[in-house]
Amino acid sequence: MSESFSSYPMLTDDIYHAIGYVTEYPECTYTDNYEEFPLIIDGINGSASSFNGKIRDSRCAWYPDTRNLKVTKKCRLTSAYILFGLNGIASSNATLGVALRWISSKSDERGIIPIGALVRTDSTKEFQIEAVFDKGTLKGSLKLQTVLYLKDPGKATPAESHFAHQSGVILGILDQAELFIDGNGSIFPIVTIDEPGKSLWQVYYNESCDPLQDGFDSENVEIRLNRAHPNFDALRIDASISESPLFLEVISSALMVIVESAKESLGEDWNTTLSGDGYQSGSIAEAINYFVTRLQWDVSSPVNLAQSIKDFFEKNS
Amino acid sequence: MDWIELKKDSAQAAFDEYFINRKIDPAPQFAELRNDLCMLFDNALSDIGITSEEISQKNNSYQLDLLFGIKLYSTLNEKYGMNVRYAATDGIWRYISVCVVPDLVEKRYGLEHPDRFWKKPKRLWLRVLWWYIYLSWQGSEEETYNVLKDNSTDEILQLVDRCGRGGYRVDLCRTLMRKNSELDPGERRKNQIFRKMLVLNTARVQVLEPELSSGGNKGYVDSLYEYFQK
Repeated sequence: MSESFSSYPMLTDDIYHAIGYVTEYPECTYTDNYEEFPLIIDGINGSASSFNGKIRDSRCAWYPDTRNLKVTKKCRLTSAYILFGLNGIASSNATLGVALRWISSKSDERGIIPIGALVRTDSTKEFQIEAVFDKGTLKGSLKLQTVLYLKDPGKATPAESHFAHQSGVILGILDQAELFIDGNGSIFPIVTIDEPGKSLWQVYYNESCDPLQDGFDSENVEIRLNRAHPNFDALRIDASISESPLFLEVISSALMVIVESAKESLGEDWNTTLSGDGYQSGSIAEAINYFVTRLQWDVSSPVNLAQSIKDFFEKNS
Repeated sequence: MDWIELKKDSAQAAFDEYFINRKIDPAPQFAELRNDLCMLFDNALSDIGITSEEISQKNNSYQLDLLFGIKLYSTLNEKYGMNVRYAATDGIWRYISVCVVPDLVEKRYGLEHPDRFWKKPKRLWLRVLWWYIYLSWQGSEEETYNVLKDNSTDEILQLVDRCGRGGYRVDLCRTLMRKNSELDPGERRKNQIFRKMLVLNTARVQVLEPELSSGGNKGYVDSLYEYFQK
């Protein structure tokens, strides 16, 4: 789970597998009148080391406005020594750290919580992770990443001079999760409407929005499916997208309209968007950058864009 | 407080209406908030010793932003339950800006800047003030004022505009603001040190977490400053 290209060694998939990293799904609780209550993570999608899910309270008393959120979990490395020395990611006498990075991009806040340290002589090492978020601080979703970082570079031998040497540098992600706090956790803003006589689907794109600043959310961008249309049932929106070729076609076409609309309104900011600069977190431009860089959509022409979006859904649904 | 969120198109319509008839008619639960904000605004003007016609002269606009901003921040938080979650909700600020105190935004910016009323989320004047104070907060109004008193509107823009991917690192922002206040005001302005430190920070946080570096946020901020002293 390496983070990005860098000039020094980072955690590779091979090293990640070799260190025997094991984690579990986090436990979420909240405090009500000095008593702690469990929360449920619903609709888990993925494994303990990479998943998303929605937080739900069986007592219906937890709201992010009025209650805190405590997240705890354990994680373990069985062969930490592999991280050190020539074949690792830090010099033999360096100290690595494990930390929990959290991001609540809709509330414009992020932070990092140091958890513990690792040195070469550690074999099996277990960490207890705990984070408490005050009421009124989280919005949208809470992204959690357990990261490995350079705590102390130590004294590198000449052969180890290629390792990162600045303390605080992030060397890799051990696990990641996204807990949805508000809303349904849907990646795309899709709603159903009831408009007899109108088309099966339409795209709303707010022409007056600033795609560099304004959010990729239903205030500015929305895919609207018309319940009143005779073919609505054929969309089978409750089935998975792989079981509904019509739904796949609609979503692919709608996303193409969104990307093309954003391109139009971005104008000369289009290229900076593609290079990952100049936009706000959660903005339409950030979503476009994600489509292009992470999902590999080809924006070189409308034909290529349509094809690459369809290919993406064919492969991933 | 039962906040109201205003969508962008509704905010534009409300702003257009205010533009024509100057009518201010907030929902009943906002009447007290309106009174409070108008009073805080007037108090800030009288503390600076100016009238609303003199806001745009000299450094008055920053002094108003600072004095009014600190009181706005404290009053909204303590009396009306404002928190980060609400403060990050654009629709809430659009409602306050366009329906509760559009006259105050007008006095500060005139009506030719819809960005400050409803158009650009990160430029809404009242939202900007709240976040400027929140990201600079030093534990009390007095301490915060002391750290910000020699700044200008440029620092507000630089700080609040650079949210960064994922959001603000709040403790880092507060450490940066303290460091900036310790520098000579003349040198700061001449060399644009604050802006340079923020630009360098944006590059560095791509690969490291300041809080995890040796010396923590303070050591990290010192290193940002020292980089430009070589």
